[in-house]
Amino acid sequence: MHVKGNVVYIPLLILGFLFLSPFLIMISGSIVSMIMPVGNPFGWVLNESLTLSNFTYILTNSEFLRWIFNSVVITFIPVFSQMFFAAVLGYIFAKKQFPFREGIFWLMMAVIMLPSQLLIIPRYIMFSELGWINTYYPLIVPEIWGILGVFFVRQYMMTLPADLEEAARMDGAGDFTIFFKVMLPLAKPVIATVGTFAFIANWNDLLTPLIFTTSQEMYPVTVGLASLLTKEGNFGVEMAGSVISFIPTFLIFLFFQRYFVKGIALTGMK
Amino acid sequence: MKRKGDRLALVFFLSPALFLYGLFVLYPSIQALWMSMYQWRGLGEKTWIGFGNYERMMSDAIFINAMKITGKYILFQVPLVLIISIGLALTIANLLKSRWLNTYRATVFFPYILPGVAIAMLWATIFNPVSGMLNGLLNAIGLEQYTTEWLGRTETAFGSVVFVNVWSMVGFYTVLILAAILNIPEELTEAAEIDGAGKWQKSFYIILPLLKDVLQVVIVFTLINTLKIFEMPQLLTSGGPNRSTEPISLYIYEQAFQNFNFGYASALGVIFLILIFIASMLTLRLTRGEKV
Repeated sequence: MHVKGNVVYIPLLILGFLFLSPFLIMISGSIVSMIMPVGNPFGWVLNESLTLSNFTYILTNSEFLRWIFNSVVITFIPVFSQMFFAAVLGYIFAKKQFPFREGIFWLMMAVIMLPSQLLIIPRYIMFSELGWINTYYPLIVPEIWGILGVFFVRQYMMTLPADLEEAARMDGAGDFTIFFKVMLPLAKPVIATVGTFAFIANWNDLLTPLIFTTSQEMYPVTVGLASLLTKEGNFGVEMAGSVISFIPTFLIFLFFQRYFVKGIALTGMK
Repeated sequence: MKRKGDRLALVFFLSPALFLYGLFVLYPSIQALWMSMYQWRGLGEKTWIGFGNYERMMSDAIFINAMKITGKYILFQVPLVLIISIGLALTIANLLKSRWLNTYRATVFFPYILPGVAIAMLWATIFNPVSGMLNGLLNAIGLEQYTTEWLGRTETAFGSVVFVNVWSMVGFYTVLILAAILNIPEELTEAAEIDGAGKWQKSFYIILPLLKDVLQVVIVFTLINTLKIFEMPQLLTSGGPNRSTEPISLYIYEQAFQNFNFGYASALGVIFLILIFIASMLTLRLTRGEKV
């Protein structure tokens, strides 16, 4: 490649830096001891002494471990149940015939337009009457399944030729065999994508737990972090909290990236 | 071949989903509609006031301001997200290959996986007027006159919030569009190359029209998400200064959970829903009707 051609990479580099630099600030801020950030953040790691005191402080002086545990509980159950329902309902809405199929599907799809601020008051009243405030239920039960995941799987399965199913039927396969042996293996990347999205959405959600949890020990990480932001006002501690809260999502993303990219390409959005 | 077992399985899997949908979506929606007809402060007496809440909106200057601000978010954020994500996806597809492409795609997607609270913390630090890196950078390169209190002044707060939003949203849509570009069969683009089209010409005349479907999805999603925008204004500025960054969603939240005007907040929510519905339908129609 000649020199002139290389110039076009410069904007890409600058943009890449713009996307990454806040992460670098976050990580370097978490390992130096600073109450207020001072000076050039990219010099911190060189000029300051490195320390893990922010991490130990946050883990001993707040209920951070408990918050992580809460986040794990309210994330993992919905992730697996959402993958399950996305697979099954995606198949049903793509391949099965029954009365009002399209009507039911699009009525459910309309949910993505509903602002959460509209539902949250009636839900708040409902959960208060059920005694669910400050429990895991309001954060888990409404998230058992989601229409967007069903939509992704349905989109993908609609692109699969009918021959596939018919050939299996000729061999005497029933619906369950077709679903488990033919459809599910093919849809794996899409289902992994649904799981990743569900993980990101539930792990990072702020508004719902902000309203339905009122005591510290029921906070998920997001609400806990937000409470630290107003309480501590210590830059290093905030950054350490951000780093810890980010690690699980980061690992999931790294692990599923391959599937994920393929899954997006397979959902028929071309 | 309809067997009885099939029917049973269908009912077995569909009914829990329908039940949850009814309980947590349909029922609360209807309840919100019904509540919007009352004056009610959560505890105590409910008073039926018909369309009183809706009439109150007409003369509620804060509501009208929030509507305008939401419109302003759409006006700036939707085109910015669209242009940047399309441009970025085309650039990545044109310039990068295999490993570099994967790395860059992950980089761009990064902000999307970070919790909003952390995003707000980071950018609040960067924008900080005293110790922030942005002012530090401007000082370092001799542009002192541009240093300011980014989130604290009406002139710059809105732009700053939009910037952070675009920064956090754009990667997701870039990945969607990029997936669609990489899905285009090579024969199509090769044919254009033989006809002597350059890379960027090819992008514009061949690839862009083929992206119609994914772009429609991206436009509708960006629009709905911008209309619903809540976290960043809430965390970065709390809607201020002087409500200059307060969208409708934040005002509803304020009415519901700070003032406990459940009735009025529900009415605002209903209007908000109608607005989102109209905007989505309009976009779907416009983008569908467009000729390629």
